[in-house]
Amino acid sequence: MLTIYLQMIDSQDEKDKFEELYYKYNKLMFYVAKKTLNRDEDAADAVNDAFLLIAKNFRKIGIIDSKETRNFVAVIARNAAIDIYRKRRNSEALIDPVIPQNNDSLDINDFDIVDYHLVLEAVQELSEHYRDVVYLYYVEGYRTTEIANMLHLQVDNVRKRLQRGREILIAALGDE
Amino acid sequence: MNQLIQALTEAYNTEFDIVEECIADKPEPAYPKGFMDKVLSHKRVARRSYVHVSHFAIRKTILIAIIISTVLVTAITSIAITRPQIFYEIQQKSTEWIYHFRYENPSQVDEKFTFMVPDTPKGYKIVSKDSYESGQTIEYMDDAGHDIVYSQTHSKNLETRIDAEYDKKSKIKINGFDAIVVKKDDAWMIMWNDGISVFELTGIAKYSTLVSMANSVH
Repeated sequence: MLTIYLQMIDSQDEKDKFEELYYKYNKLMFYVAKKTLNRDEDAADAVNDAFLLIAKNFRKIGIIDSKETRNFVAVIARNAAIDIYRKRRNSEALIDPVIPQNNDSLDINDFDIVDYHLVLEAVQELSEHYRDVVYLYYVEGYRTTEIANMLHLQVDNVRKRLQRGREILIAALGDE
Repeated sequence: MNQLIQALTEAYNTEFDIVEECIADKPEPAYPKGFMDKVLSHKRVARRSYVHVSHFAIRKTILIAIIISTVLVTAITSIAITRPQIFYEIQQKSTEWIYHFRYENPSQVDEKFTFMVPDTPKGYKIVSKDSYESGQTIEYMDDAGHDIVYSQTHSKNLETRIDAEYDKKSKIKINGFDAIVVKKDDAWMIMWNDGISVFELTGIAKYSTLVSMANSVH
Protein backbone atom coordinates (compact mmCIF):
# COMPACT_ATOMS: atom_id res chain seq x y z
CA MET A 1 0.00 0.00 0.00
CA LEU A 2 2.80 2.33 0.92
CA THR A 3 4.01 2.28 -2.70
CA ILE A 4 0.87 4.06 -3.89
CA TYR A 5 1.15 6.85 -1.34
CA LEU A 6 4.88 7.36 -1.87
CA GLN A 7 4.32 7.94 -5.59
CA MET A 8 2.31 11.03 -4.66
CA ILE A 9 5.17 12.65 -2.78
CA ASP A 10 7.97 14.59 -4.45
CA SER A 11 11.19 14.52 -2.48
CA GLN A 12 13.01 11.58 -0.94
CA ASP A 13 13.05 13.34 2.46
CA GLU A 14 9.29 13.60 2.41
CA LYS A 15 8.96 9.99 1.24
CA ASP A 16 11.06 8.88 4.23
CA LYS A 17 8.94 11.03 6.51
CA PHE A 18 5.72 9.62 5.10
CA GLU A 19 7.03 6.09 5.54
CA GLU A 20 7.70 6.87 9.21
CA LEU A 21 4.16 8.23 9.58
CA TYR A 22 2.69 5.17 7.85
CA TYR A 23 4.35 2.63 10.13
CA LYS A 24 3.81 4.69 13.28
CA TYR A 25 0.10 5.44 12.87
CA ASN A 26 -1.26 2.73 10.57
CA LYS A 27 -2.49 0.67 13.50
CA LEU A 28 -4.05 3.61 15.36
CA MET A 29 -5.83 4.81 12.21
CA PHE A 30 -7.14 1.34 11.48
CA TYR A 31 -8.68 0.90 14.93
CA VAL A 32 -10.04 4.47 14.99
CA ALA A 33 -11.76 3.76 11.65
CA LYS A 34 -12.93 0.34 12.80
CA LYS A 35 -14.67 1.91 15.81
CA THR A 36 -17.04 3.61 13.34
CA LEU A 37 -17.24 0.94 10.66
CA ASN A 38 -16.85 -2.38 12.51
CA ARG A 39 -15.80 -4.40 9.43
CA ASP A 40 -12.06 -4.83 8.77
CA GLU A 41 -12.47 -4.32 5.03
CA ASP A 42 -14.37 -1.05 5.50
CA ALA A 43 -11.80 0.15 8.04
CA ALA A 44 -9.02 -0.67 5.54
CA ASP A 45 -10.87 1.40 2.93
CA ALA A 46 -11.11 4.33 5.34
CA VAL A 47 -7.43 4.12 6.27
CA ASN A 48 -6.55 3.99 2.58
CA ASP A 49 -8.63 7.14 1.92
CA ALA A 50 -7.09 8.84 4.95
CA PHE A 51 -3.52 8.11 3.81
CA LEU A 52 -4.30 9.41 0.32
CA LEU A 53 -5.62 12.65 1.85
CA ILE A 54 -2.60 12.93 4.12
CA ALA A 55 -0.24 12.33 1.17
CA LYS A 56 -1.94 15.13 -0.77
CA ASN A 57 -1.56 17.52 2.17
CA PHE A 58 1.74 16.19 3.42
CA ARG A 59 3.68 19.46 3.20
CA LYS A 60 1.84 20.78 6.25
CA ILE A 61 2.73 17.82 8.46
CA GLY A 62 5.30 18.69 11.10
CA ILE A 63 7.15 16.33 13.43
CA ILE A 64 5.87 12.77 12.94
CA ASP A 65 6.41 11.60 16.50
CA SER A 66 4.20 14.26 18.09
CA LYS A 67 0.74 14.31 19.60
CA GLU A 68 -0.27 17.00 17.14
CA THR A 69 0.45 14.73 14.15
CA ARG A 70 -1.04 11.71 15.89
CA ASN A 71 -4.28 13.59 16.64
CA PHE A 72 -4.41 14.92 13.10
CA VAL A 73 -4.08 11.51 11.39
CA ALA A 74 -6.57 9.99 13.80
CA VAL A 75 -9.09 12.75 13.07
CA ILE A 76 -8.60 12.24 9.32
CA ALA A 77 -9.05 8.46 9.70
CA ARG A 78 -12.19 8.92 11.80
CA ASN A 79 -13.71 11.30 9.26
CA ALA A 80 -12.77 9.03 6.36
CA ALA A 81 -14.61 6.26 8.19
CA ILE A 82 -17.62 8.50 8.81
CA ASP A 83 -17.60 9.44 5.13
CA ILE A 84 -17.69 5.77 4.11
CA TYR A 85 -20.39 5.04 6.67
CA ARG A 86 -22.46 7.95 5.38
CA LYS A 87 -22.12 6.79 1.78
CA ARG A 88 -23.07 3.23 2.70
CA ARG A 89 -26.09 4.40 4.66
CA ASN A 90 -26.84 7.05 2.04
CA SER A 91 -27.65 9.50 4.80
CA GLU A 92 -26.02 11.63 7.43
CA ALA A 93 -24.35 9.43 10.01
CA LEU A 94 -24.74 11.91 12.73
CA ILE A 95 -27.78 13.96 13.43
CA ASP A 96 -27.19 17.57 14.33
CA PRO A 97 -27.78 18.04 18.03
CA VAL A 98 -30.26 20.63 19.14
CA ILE A 99 -28.44 23.86 19.78
CA PRO A 100 -29.43 25.61 22.98
CA GLN A 101 -30.39 29.18 22.23
CA ASN A 102 -30.70 30.53 25.73
CA ASN A 103 -27.51 32.55 26.06
CA ASP A 104 -26.13 35.29 23.88
CA SER A 105 -23.92 36.85 26.50
CA LEU A 106 -20.68 34.98 25.51
CA ASP A 107 -18.79 34.94 22.27
CA ILE A 108 -15.76 33.01 21.05
CA ASN A 109 -13.34 35.56 22.48
CA ASP A 110 -14.72 35.10 25.99
CA PHE A 111 -13.32 31.56 26.43
CA ASP A 112 -10.28 33.01 28.17
CA ILE A 113 -12.33 34.56 30.97
CA VAL A 114 -14.21 31.36 31.78
CA ASP A 115 -12.82 28.68 34.09
CA TYR A 116 -10.56 26.37 32.02
CA HIS A 117 -12.15 23.18 33.35
CA LEU A 118 -15.52 24.35 32.13
CA VAL A 119 -14.08 25.00 28.67
CA LEU A 120 -12.46 21.55 28.63
CA GLU A 121 -15.70 19.93 29.76
CA ALA A 122 -17.66 21.77 27.06
CA VAL A 123 -15.14 20.69 24.42
CA GLN A 124 -15.24 17.05 25.56
CA GLU A 125 -19.01 17.04 25.42
CA LEU A 126 -19.10 18.58 21.96
CA SER A 127 -20.05 16.05 19.28
CA GLU A 128 -17.17 14.80 17.06
CA HIS A 129 -19.26 16.01 14.16
CA TYR A 130 -18.39 19.60 15.11
CA ARG A 131 -15.39 19.09 17.33
CA ASP A 132 -13.12 17.68 14.59
CA VAL A 133 -13.76 20.69 12.36
CA VAL A 134 -13.20 23.08 15.28
CA TYR A 135 -10.01 21.20 16.19
CA LEU A 136 -8.60 21.25 12.63
CA TYR A 137 -9.45 24.93 12.32
CA TYR A 138 -8.26 26.29 15.67
CA VAL A 139 -5.51 23.88 16.69
CA GLU A 140 -4.10 22.48 13.42
CA GLY A 141 -4.57 25.80 11.65
CA TYR A 142 -6.20 24.53 8.44
CA ARG A 143 -8.43 26.83 6.40
CA THR A 144 -12.05 25.95 5.77
CA THR A 145 -11.30 25.05 2.13
CA GLU A 146 -8.52 22.68 3.21
CA ILE A 147 -10.75 21.08 5.83
CA ALA A 148 -13.48 20.68 3.23
CA ASN A 149 -11.03 18.85 0.93
CA MET A 150 -9.74 16.61 3.68
CA LEU A 151 -13.13 15.64 5.04
CA HIS A 152 -14.90 15.44 1.66
CA LEU A 153 -17.33 18.18 2.65
CA GLN A 154 -18.65 21.31 1.00
CA VAL A 155 -16.92 24.49 2.20
CA ASP A 156 -20.31 25.85 3.30
CA ASN A 157 -20.84 22.73 5.34
CA VAL A 158 -17.47 23.19 7.07
CA ARG A 159 -18.32 26.84 7.85
CA LYS A 160 -21.71 25.76 9.16
CA ARG A 161 -20.15 23.13 11.41
CA LEU A 162 -17.62 25.66 12.71
CA GLN A 163 -20.36 28.14 13.43
CA ARG A 164 -22.59 25.59 15.13
CA GLY A 165 -19.66 24.16 17.08
CA ARG A 166 -18.84 27.60 18.42
CA GLU A 167 -22.51 28.24 19.24
CA ILE A 168 -22.81 24.95 21.12
CA LEU A 169 -19.66 25.69 23.13
CA ILE A 170 -20.80 29.23 23.91
CA ALA A 171 -24.21 27.97 24.89
CA ALA A 172 -22.69 25.26 27.12
CA LEU A 173 -20.49 27.77 28.91
CA GLY A 174 -23.33 30.21 29.23
CA ASP A 175 -25.34 27.60 31.12
CA GLU A 176 -22.68 27.35 33.80
CA MET B 1 -9.23 31.74 22.58
CA ASN B 2 -6.04 30.35 24.13
CA GLN B 3 -8.10 28.37 26.60
CA LEU B 4 -10.22 26.97 23.77
CA ILE B 5 -7.11 25.82 21.89
CA GLN B 6 -5.64 24.41 25.09
CA ALA B 7 -8.87 22.58 25.90
CA LEU B 8 -9.21 21.16 22.38
CA THR B 9 -5.58 19.98 22.48
CA GLU B 10 -6.05 18.36 25.87
CA ALA B 11 -9.32 16.74 24.82
CA TYR B 12 -7.76 15.19 21.71
CA ASN B 13 -4.57 14.18 23.51
CA THR B 14 -6.62 12.44 26.17
CA GLU B 15 -8.96 10.80 23.68
CA PHE B 16 -6.24 9.32 21.50
CA ASP B 17 -3.99 8.46 24.45
CA ILE B 18 -6.85 6.26 25.65
CA VAL B 19 -7.30 4.77 22.16
CA GLU B 20 -3.57 4.00 21.94
CA GLU B 21 -3.67 2.35 25.37
CA CYS B 22 -6.66 0.24 24.35
CA ILE B 23 -5.08 -0.99 21.11
CA ALA B 24 -1.60 -1.55 22.54
CA ASP B 25 -2.20 -5.29 22.89
CA LYS B 26 -4.10 -5.63 19.65
CA PRO B 27 -2.37 -7.09 16.58
CA GLU B 28 -1.14 -4.97 13.68
CA PRO B 29 -3.97 -4.64 11.16
CA ALA B 30 -3.88 -7.28 8.46
CA TYR B 31 -5.68 -5.92 5.45
CA PRO B 32 -8.35 -8.38 4.33
CA LYS B 33 -7.91 -10.20 1.03
CA GLY B 34 -10.89 -8.43 -0.53
CA PHE B 35 -9.32 -5.06 0.12
CA MET B 36 -5.88 -6.11 -1.13
CA ASP B 37 -7.40 -7.51 -4.33
CA LYS B 38 -9.23 -4.23 -4.84
CA VAL B 39 -6.09 -2.09 -4.57
CA LEU B 40 -3.79 -4.49 -6.42
CA SER B 41 -4.37 -2.87 -9.80
CA HIS B 42 -3.68 0.59 -8.34
CA LYS B 43 -0.54 -0.77 -6.77
CA ARG B 44 0.69 -2.13 -10.10
CA VAL B 45 -0.01 1.16 -11.84
CA ALA B 46 1.81 3.06 -9.09
CA ARG B 47 4.85 0.80 -9.35
CA ARG B 48 5.08 0.78 -13.12
CA SER B 49 3.92 3.98 -14.65
CA TYR B 50 2.69 6.62 -12.28
CA VAL B 51 5.13 9.47 -12.06
CA HIS B 52 3.99 12.43 -10.09
CA VAL B 53 5.08 15.68 -11.72
CA SER B 54 4.64 18.80 -9.70
CA HIS B 55 3.61 22.13 -11.21
CA PHE B 56 7.00 23.47 -10.25
CA ALA B 57 8.73 20.71 -12.23
CA ILE B 58 6.54 21.43 -15.28
CA ARG B 59 7.31 25.16 -15.12
CA LYS B 60 11.01 24.42 -14.67
CA THR B 61 11.03 22.13 -17.73
CA ILE B 62 9.24 24.74 -19.87
CA LEU B 63 11.68 27.43 -18.73
CA ILE B 64 14.68 25.21 -19.54
CA ALA B 65 13.22 24.42 -22.98
CA ILE B 66 12.75 28.15 -23.69
CA ILE B 67 16.30 28.93 -22.56
CA ILE B 68 17.77 26.11 -24.71
CA SER B 69 15.74 27.23 -27.76
CA THR B 70 16.85 30.84 -27.27
CA VAL B 71 20.50 29.79 -26.95
CA LEU B 72 20.26 27.61 -30.07
CA VAL B 73 18.58 30.32 -32.17
CA THR B 74 21.11 32.90 -30.97
CA ALA B 75 24.02 30.56 -31.71
CA ILE B 76 22.76 29.70 -35.23
CA THR B 77 22.11 33.38 -36.00
CA SER B 78 25.56 34.34 -34.74
CA ILE B 79 27.21 31.63 -36.89
CA ALA B 80 25.15 32.69 -39.90
CA ILE B 81 26.41 36.26 -39.48
CA THR B 82 30.04 35.58 -38.58
CA ARG B 83 30.76 32.28 -40.42
CA PRO B 84 28.41 31.94 -43.41
CA GLN B 85 30.94 29.60 -44.99
CA ILE B 86 29.74 26.83 -42.68
CA PHE B 87 26.28 27.01 -44.19
CA TYR B 88 27.77 27.02 -47.66
CA GLU B 89 29.64 23.82 -46.80
CA ILE B 90 26.47 22.27 -45.43
CA GLN B 91 24.71 23.24 -48.63
CA GLN B 92 27.51 21.66 -50.65
CA LYS B 93 26.92 18.38 -48.84
CA SER B 94 23.29 18.33 -49.84
CA THR B 95 22.28 15.98 -52.64
CA GLU B 96 20.83 18.57 -54.96
CA TRP B 97 21.17 22.29 -55.54
CA ILE B 98 18.28 24.32 -56.81
CA TYR B 99 19.01 27.54 -58.68
CA HIS B 100 16.38 30.17 -59.27
CA PHE B 101 17.29 32.51 -62.10
CA ARG B 102 17.06 36.23 -62.10
CA TYR B 103 14.60 37.82 -64.54
CA GLU B 104 14.81 41.58 -65.07
CA ASN B 105 12.08 43.35 -66.94
CA PRO B 106 11.36 46.62 -65.12
CA SER B 107 9.24 48.00 -67.96
CA GLN B 108 6.94 44.93 -67.70
CA VAL B 109 6.67 45.05 -71.49
CA ASP B 110 7.21 41.81 -73.39
CA GLU B 111 10.66 42.16 -74.80
CA LYS B 112 11.68 40.42 -77.95
CA PHE B 113 13.76 37.40 -77.09
CA THR B 114 17.09 37.71 -78.89
CA PHE B 115 18.91 34.56 -79.87
CA MET B 116 22.60 34.75 -79.19
CA VAL B 117 25.08 32.25 -80.64
CA PRO B 118 28.60 31.62 -79.36
CA ASP B 119 31.63 31.43 -81.62
CA THR B 120 32.23 27.92 -82.93
CA PRO B 121 35.48 26.71 -81.38
CA LYS B 122 38.36 25.59 -83.53
CA GLY B 123 38.02 21.94 -84.56
CA TYR B 124 34.27 21.86 -83.94
CA LYS B 125 31.36 22.19 -86.26
CA ILE B 126 27.62 22.66 -85.66
CA VAL B 127 25.83 19.34 -86.03
CA SER B 128 22.33 20.38 -84.95
CA LYS B 129 20.41 23.54 -84.17
CA ASP B 130 16.95 23.74 -82.67
CA SER B 131 15.11 26.90 -81.79
CA TYR B 132 11.75 27.30 -80.13
CA GLU B 133 9.67 30.10 -78.64
CA SER B 134 11.58 30.43 -75.36
CA GLY B 135 15.03 29.30 -76.36
CA GLN B 136 17.44 27.47 -78.60
CA THR B 137 19.86 24.54 -78.50
CA ILE B 138 22.99 24.12 -80.64
CA GLU B 139 25.18 21.03 -80.67
CA TYR B 140 28.82 21.20 -81.69
CA MET B 141 31.07 18.20 -82.37
CA ASP B 142 34.78 17.75 -83.00
CA ASP B 143 36.47 15.15 -85.20
CA ALA B 144 36.82 12.75 -82.30
CA GLY B 145 33.05 12.77 -81.77
CA HIS B 146 33.11 14.85 -78.54
CA ASP B 147 30.21 17.20 -78.44
CA ILE B 148 29.42 20.51 -76.76
CA VAL B 149 25.83 21.52 -76.25
CA TYR B 150 24.91 25.16 -75.97
CA SER B 151 21.46 26.25 -74.84
CA GLN B 152 19.79 29.59 -74.27
CA THR B 153 16.49 29.72 -72.41
CA HIS B 154 14.21 32.55 -71.29
CA SER B 155 14.87 33.00 -67.55
CA LYS B 156 11.32 33.99 -66.57
CA ASN B 157 10.10 31.61 -63.82
CA LEU B 158 12.99 29.29 -64.58
CA GLU B 159 14.82 27.16 -62.06
CA THR B 160 17.19 24.28 -62.45
CA ARG B 161 18.42 21.46 -60.27
CA ILE B 162 22.01 20.33 -60.26
CA ASP B 163 23.24 17.05 -58.83
CA ALA B 164 25.39 17.90 -55.82
CA GLU B 165 27.63 14.92 -56.45
CA TYR B 166 29.56 16.80 -59.15
CA ASP B 167 33.31 16.59 -58.52
CA LYS B 168 33.88 20.29 -58.63
CA LYS B 169 31.83 23.41 -58.28
CA SER B 170 33.02 27.00 -58.56
CA LYS B 171 31.92 30.47 -59.52
CA ILE B 172 33.38 32.60 -62.30
CA LYS B 173 32.35 35.70 -64.27
CA ILE B 174 31.13 35.50 -67.89
CA ASN B 175 30.80 38.92 -69.52
CA GLY B 176 30.37 40.41 -66.03
CA PHE B 177 27.64 37.97 -64.98
CA ASP B 178 27.96 35.34 -62.23
CA ALA B 179 28.42 31.87 -63.67
CA ILE B 180 28.49 28.42 -62.09
CA VAL B 181 31.01 25.88 -63.24
CA VAL B 182 30.61 22.22 -62.36
CA LYS B 183 32.66 19.19 -63.42
CA LYS B 184 31.94 15.49 -63.24
CA ASP B 185 34.52 13.07 -64.61
CA ASP B 186 35.61 14.72 -67.90
CA ALA B 187 32.43 16.69 -68.51
CA TRP B 188 32.09 20.39 -67.77
CA MET B 189 29.08 22.58 -67.45
CA ILE B 190 29.01 26.37 -67.37
CA MET B 191 25.75 28.14 -66.63
CA TRP B 192 25.08 31.86 -66.35
CA ASN B 193 22.21 34.31 -66.46
CA ASP B 194 22.09 37.87 -67.80
CA GLY B 195 18.67 38.73 -66.39
CA ILE B 196 16.75 37.74 -69.51
CA SER B 197 18.26 34.44 -70.64
CA VAL B 198 19.89 31.47 -68.99
CA PHE B 199 22.88 30.16 -70.91
CA GLU B 200 24.36 26.70 -70.53
CA LEU B 201 27.34 25.04 -72.11
CA THR B 202 28.06 21.36 -71.43
CA GLY B 203 30.46 18.91 -72.95
CA ILE B 204 33.61 16.85 -72.77
CA ALA B 205 36.01 19.52 -73.83
CA LYS B 206 38.77 21.72 -72.53
CA TYR B 207 37.65 24.09 -69.83
CA SER B 208 39.31 27.01 -71.63
CA THR B 209 37.40 26.17 -74.83
CA LEU B 210 34.08 26.32 -73.01
CA VAL B 211 34.98 29.59 -71.24
CA SER B 212 35.99 31.17 -74.57
CA MET B 213 32.69 30.09 -76.12
CA ALA B 214 30.78 31.49 -73.17
CA ASN B 215 32.53 34.84 -73.33
CA SER B 216 31.73 35.08 -77.02
CA VAL B 217 28.00 35.14 -76.34
CA HIS B 218 26.91 38.82 -76.55
